Amino acid sequence: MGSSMIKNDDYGEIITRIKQIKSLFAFGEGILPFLEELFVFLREVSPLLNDVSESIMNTTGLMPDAASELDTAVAETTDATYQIMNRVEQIMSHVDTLEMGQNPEDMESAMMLGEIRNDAIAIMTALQFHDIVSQKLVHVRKVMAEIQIKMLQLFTRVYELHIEDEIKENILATFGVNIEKFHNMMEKKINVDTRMTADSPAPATATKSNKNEETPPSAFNQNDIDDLFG
Amino acid sequence: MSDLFILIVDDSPTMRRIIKNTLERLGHRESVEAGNGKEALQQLEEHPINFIITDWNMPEMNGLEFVTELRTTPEYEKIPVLMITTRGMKDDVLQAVQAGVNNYVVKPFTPETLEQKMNKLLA
Repeated sequence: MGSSMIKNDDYGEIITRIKQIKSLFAFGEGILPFLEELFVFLREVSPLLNDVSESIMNTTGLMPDAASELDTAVAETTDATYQIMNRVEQIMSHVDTLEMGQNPEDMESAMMLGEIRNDAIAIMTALQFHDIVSQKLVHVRKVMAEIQIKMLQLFTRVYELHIEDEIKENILATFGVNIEKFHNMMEKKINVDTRMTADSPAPATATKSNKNEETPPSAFNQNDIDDLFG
Repeated sequence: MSDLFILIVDDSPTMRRIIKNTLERLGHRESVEAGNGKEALQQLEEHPINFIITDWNMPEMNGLEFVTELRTTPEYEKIPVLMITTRGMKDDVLQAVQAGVNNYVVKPFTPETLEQKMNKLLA
């Protein structure tokens, strides 16, 4: 019966185990509300986090498309502006020709030609808006390129951290980074910054310098400027 | 017919064309163009320029740098400079004045404004 006999030591062991279980339950009681809150938090916040992560992924993924669309918009409006300018210059040239061969006594025609000329000049000056809008688009384009570069720098920095791969991958996955592709990219030792810059060249007009339009201390209108110059 | 030989400095070909056309309509047919301050300095060496219209924001050498350079060169220091730019902040205007700009127009401008400013500088 030795095998069925329970030794004192065994009792002690059992009691210890029971105490441990009891204390675990006691701990469980204390931690349960916290765990419940955690579950609620995870249940409610996780989808939001997923959305944010997806949003970041989508946003960064869409950036090259958006940048390319901005480039196209600038190029197309430039072409359109040039076409309008060509036509306006033709109109002005016709007006010049008509004025030269005009009867000096025909005041009505002279007035009409003058009006056409003024309208043509008004169209020409209105085309300044193309340049102004283009500059703003180019600025937006540069900001987008900067954000892309910063995001990739962040991903690269995380990737190069001396931490466990799993943690690293979890962080990158939070930003919607395709770990496998990113790993391959890093393995090939591609300089992501250079690559991003090379992949997203700024349009020719993007070379404008000092286009930063940060919050101004005070804006001047033309009247203020006129006052200043007397 | 105007006796002005005008230098138009702007990196936007659209703007240069608009300014050139407007100037022609105002009777100023003699003009040359430059895409930035550096090109403008070259044009100054090659042509008898006596009036300058310049943008501020340009690559390589911007309008402010160009005017500063201009004002330190005895040959060019007295040439009237009209700045036409999108920058309309008080500090911008004051900076331009300090650099040596004689008058300042915020884009978009009208032919009337351009004419009025030029007449003022040439009076």
